[in-house]
Amino acid sequence: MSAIDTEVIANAKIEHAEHEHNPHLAHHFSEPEQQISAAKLGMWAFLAQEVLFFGGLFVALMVFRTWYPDMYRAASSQLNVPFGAINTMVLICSSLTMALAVRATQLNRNRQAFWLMAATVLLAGVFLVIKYFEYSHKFHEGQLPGHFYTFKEIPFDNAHMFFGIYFCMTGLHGLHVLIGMIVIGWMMVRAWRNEFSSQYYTPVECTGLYWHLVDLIWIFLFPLLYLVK
Amino acid sequence: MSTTTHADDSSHKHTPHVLPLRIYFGVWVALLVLTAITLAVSYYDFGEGNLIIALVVATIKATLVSLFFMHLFYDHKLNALVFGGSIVFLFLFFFFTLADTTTRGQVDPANGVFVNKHLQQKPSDEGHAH
Amino acid sequence: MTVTTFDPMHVPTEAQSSPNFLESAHGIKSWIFTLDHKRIGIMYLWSILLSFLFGGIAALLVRLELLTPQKTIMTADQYNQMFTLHGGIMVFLFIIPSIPASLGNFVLPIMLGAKDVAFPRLNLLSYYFWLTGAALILTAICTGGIDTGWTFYTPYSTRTATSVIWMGLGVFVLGFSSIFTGLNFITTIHKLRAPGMSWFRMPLFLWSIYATALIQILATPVLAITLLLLVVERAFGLGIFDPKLGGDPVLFQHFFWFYSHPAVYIMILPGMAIVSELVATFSRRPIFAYKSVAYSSVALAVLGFLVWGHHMFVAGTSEFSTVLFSALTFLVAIPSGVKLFNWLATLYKGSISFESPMLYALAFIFLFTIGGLTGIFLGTLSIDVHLHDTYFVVAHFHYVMMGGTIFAFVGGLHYWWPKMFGRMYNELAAKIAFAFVFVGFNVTFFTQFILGSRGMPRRYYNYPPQFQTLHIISTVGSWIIATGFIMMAIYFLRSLRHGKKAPDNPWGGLTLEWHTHSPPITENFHNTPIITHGAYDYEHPDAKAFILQTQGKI
Repeated sequence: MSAIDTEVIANAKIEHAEHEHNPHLAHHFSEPEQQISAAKLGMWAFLAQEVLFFGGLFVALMVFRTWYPDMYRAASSQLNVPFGAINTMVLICSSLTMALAVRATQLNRNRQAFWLMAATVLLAGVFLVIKYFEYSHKFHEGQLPGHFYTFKEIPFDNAHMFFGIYFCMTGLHGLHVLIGMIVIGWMMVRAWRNEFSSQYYTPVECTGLYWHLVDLIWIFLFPLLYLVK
Repeated sequence: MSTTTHADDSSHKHTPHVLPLRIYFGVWVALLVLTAITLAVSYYDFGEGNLIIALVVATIKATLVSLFFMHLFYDHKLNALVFGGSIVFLFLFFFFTLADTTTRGQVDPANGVFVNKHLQQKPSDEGHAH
Repeated sequence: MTVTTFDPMHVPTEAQSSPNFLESAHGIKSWIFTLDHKRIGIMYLWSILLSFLFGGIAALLVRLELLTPQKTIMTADQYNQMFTLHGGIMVFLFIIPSIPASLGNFVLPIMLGAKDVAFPRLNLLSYYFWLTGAALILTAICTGGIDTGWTFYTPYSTRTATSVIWMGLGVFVLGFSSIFTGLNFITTIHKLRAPGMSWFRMPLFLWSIYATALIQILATPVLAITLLLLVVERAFGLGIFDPKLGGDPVLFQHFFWFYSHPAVYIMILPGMAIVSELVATFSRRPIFAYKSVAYSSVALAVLGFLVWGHHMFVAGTSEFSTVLFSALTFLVAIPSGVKLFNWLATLYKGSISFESPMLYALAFIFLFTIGGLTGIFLGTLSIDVHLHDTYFVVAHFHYVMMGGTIFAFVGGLHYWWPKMFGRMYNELAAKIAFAFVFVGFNVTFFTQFILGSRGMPRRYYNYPPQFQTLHIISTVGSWIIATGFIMMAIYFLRSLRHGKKAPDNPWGGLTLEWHTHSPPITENFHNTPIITHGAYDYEHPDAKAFILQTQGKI
């Protein structure tokens, strides 16, 4: 047998021994670091496609904003800026609590992570409640997309387009908030069961990345929809 | 997140890169302050400047969230490239689409002459003002 | 066995007793819950081949209708549905997933020296997304069909009474199948390469699949949002695409083509990936200027995002943007040219053999050249004004998608069939089928270049009688193609039971999949390979012995 053959077989034996000790290491990875960095790369690739997904809506927004600036301004002034600003602060705080939750799992503090994630979910709930108030006001006023638009006080025929885009963007974003709440809820269950540790916190970290993206999208949504002059 | 190389650490342990709390709280405060700034600026009329300022502030906030809350500053550079790359392609989508929608009606269809776009009617009417 | 030292004498003794991946588990549950990339690839393979059958039948029916200038076998509405079905099924159910999901899934981890893709469960989920998308499209067909063309242009698609919403949802879900496959492949190539396999030691197949995956991740989400907006527009009258409500139908086209142009590179890059492998193996030479070919794949992926407006030259976009897009369209031809010239340079003074996979590779080079060049004609503004929406366009994209991608896919299927199923098919039957498909293809589609340049519009149900002769020729061509594919189906299916048992390396390739058994064991390799040289090292002193031993000729 050549020297390389021995090295290959020796490596295989080490790999096998390691696998026996590490329950989280999947069979097709050779060490934890590889698996963790693969998980994160995969998550970032997923976030990349989310950027393009939402990005399309931003493009539509900007196209119509450049074509109909006056209509846009008039319609946007109907939005509730204080609610939007509070929601921005709420999401920023939820990003903080989520980031701290990830940090807690890095430090083997499952209970702390649990409560921080609970705070995140609570703040996300506040966000959705405020959105509910905004939406129900719009339903009441007839500021709705397309066929359903009945609001009379904006002096432009095509004002329904603003509200159409508004509902699409905030609706899709709200859906992502809801999904985030569910996923974080699941991470909470796992944290309660002490499943995370400094050697294994990738699911929480990936959840955190998703949540921060939801925050990032709102960071751009808020000024572009609410703060137009 | 730091990585111990295979050569250094034969036990294949993962050492998480833990950031100090002051970074988290520092970024949080900065984000809240920047939100207040963008809100305040919106009450003044800078014309087109309002949009630019709003986008610049939003970009700064987004950068803080990405670099620190999302750890891109400390991570494999590949992850930042992936994320940054997606934003580049989004810009391409913006640029080329707006390159069309903002330059329509510039050529007189009858004789192909370039026409001053400010004298042209907007591509679609502004909606009918009542 | 150690794959790098080409030591033909060293075959581990445990090799003989491990079951291969097909035998290692039985029963339907072992397939529908499998995490093995090879089994997932095979499930995809049968699924996309079935889609190809249905899309092909729709094509034959379209061509039957066009035998006469007036009604032949269907009404005008049915005709609109038929070509929409043909396009929609072929693009979304067949060609986009085809090579990456079937052959890619099977071959990629093995070529990398890995045991599986990075995310096996996501891989299975991708397949379930495909099935769900297919079911939704089936629902669309059964609840009124669709007659918008595969391009769903507004405002027709927002107003037609057909099943656009189900179709839109189906394609939306299929998009996620594509995105997750791309995500998986990118991560796998970055993180799971075997020790010693640097980027430039990877086979070129992997470079192209990687470039494809980049496009899948960046472009497909825009299709997703486009279809979502289309569905919302239909359901709520959103108004962004409908001119009656102040919207812009050309905006829909921007959204649609931002994905759909890069999508054609999702289609062609894997085809080019396969051609690189076939040309190297069947000329017994490394691909000429390996790095240029590798870089050209990435260049094609990036540049492919900058040209979508060339589908909209006469749609009402601004003159400025048409000039911009036309110039960029010329630019995107360059990386394709680089590959073509490098393949030709590889063939020059190579030791060429003409087994069936190679026939498809050579056909690709010829047919893709025609398709690609005619794309340049269409990218020229003054010419496109006359040729847009004529049969010239139809001929162009069939030359690149079928003469290109499908020929490459079929070549790859022949190439890796022995590896996947452990059986050889009948080589003579394969050569005959190739002749039918190649001749039939040119008869069908070259005629359409002529039809188009003489003014025959595409998607038209009735046409002036002077075009009838050419239409008849084109339809007869479609029957010749069909004959070839039927023959193919027969000899492939026969081979599963009656084919000769395949050796590890029937074709004499050097990439890692030829270092495993045919079919491979579930873990692909008995020991992790360690790579010490490039992918096509035919000059290596032990290469010849390796080939002879693994071809089963010793």
